[in-house]
Amino acid sequence: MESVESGGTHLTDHQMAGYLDRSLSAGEIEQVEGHLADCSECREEIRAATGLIRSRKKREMWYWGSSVVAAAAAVILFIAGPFSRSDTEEPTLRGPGGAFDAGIPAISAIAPQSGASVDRDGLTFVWRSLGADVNYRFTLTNLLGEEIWQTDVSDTSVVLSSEITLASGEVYVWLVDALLLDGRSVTTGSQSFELNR
Amino acid sequence: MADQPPTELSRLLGAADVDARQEAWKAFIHQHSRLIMHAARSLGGGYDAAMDRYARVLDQLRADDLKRLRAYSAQSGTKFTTWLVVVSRRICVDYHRSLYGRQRATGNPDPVREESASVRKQLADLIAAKVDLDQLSDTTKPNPETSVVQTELRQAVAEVLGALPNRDRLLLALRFEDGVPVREIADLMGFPSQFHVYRRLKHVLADLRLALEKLGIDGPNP
Repeated sequence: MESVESGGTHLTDHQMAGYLDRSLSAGEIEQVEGHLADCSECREEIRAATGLIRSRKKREMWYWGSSVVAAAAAVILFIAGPFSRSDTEEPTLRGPGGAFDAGIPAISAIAPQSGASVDRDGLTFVWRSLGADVNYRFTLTNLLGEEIWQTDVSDTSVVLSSEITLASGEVYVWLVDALLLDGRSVTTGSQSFELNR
Repeated sequence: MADQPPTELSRLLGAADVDARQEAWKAFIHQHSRLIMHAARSLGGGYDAAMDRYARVLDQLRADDLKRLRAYSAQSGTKFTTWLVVVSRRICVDYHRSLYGRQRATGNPDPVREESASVRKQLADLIAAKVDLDQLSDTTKPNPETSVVQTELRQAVAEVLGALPNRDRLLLALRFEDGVPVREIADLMGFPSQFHVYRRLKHVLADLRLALEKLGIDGPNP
């Protein structure tokens, strides 16, 4: 696309992104707004980009929020039958792909197993690898689904940070999400454990 | 203000050999595939169509020795992800158009009727006259007097609109030409809230009324 400054017909990528980011100078803003006022095509485009950015933020909030909701739901099941190893809980795949999501490998949680009682010292979470070049997001929540700790790792295990304080006898939930290269995501599903007294 | 280019981008652009570039490209895709897919999906058409556009974006970003990515300049202060959303969407739209041609989003394809509707809408809001504005812009009636009145009115409105600051012109265009919700206008133009948009619109419309009155127009008949 040609720049407005160069007498072209439409805004450049930078002008459009800069306007959305509020990173343009006053003079540049004036120029961009003047062009937008007269160019319905650029207005349509910048509106679409604004919508994308907004929906992406919402989507990310939903995405991670849904992890917490899933965790809370799992906890309810866990409370209903404590320590009755929830083998029936299938790892799930999230993503807007619908039916296309079927058959995509989910992440297998290895340790601690759901329903296990564990010690705080050296508490390590382990899951099965999805292959090279995959990054994972580990999330730990309490029974209410409130996030206690979240970290991104490329390894398939994570040692609970010593800065995180957990209460003995309490039940917690952990899960791991990963993003595939095609934009879809996979998860371990919610795994619960109790901290030994 | 000026963000540094993201690490994965710097690594990609600075990769010394083919292997390093391949690794850097993988890391880049891993970091941004969600965003690009989001843009690819935004044009609808199901999974295959979205994946097709996604692949197209990757091709275009990689083409000509990463030319498009190299065009990103951190000195502009633009956030890379915002820039990438804009670029990805543009590539998707261009691709979509190359396949299906340019489509009008909505509305009547007759520019004369569109202009008339636009003027009617502007006038209705600007002057708030309790008259049937259709009689002004009904181009099907071959009444020469009406036609003259209509032309003069259009010229007057165009004159006062043209004298407005660009920001106010954009505000009016979004609101009255495009019918964009006020909340969205606030978001797009950086107003603190939708109430600020309403306030500004009220102010601009009052100024326009005054300007039209100075031209001897206090109603739909000049």
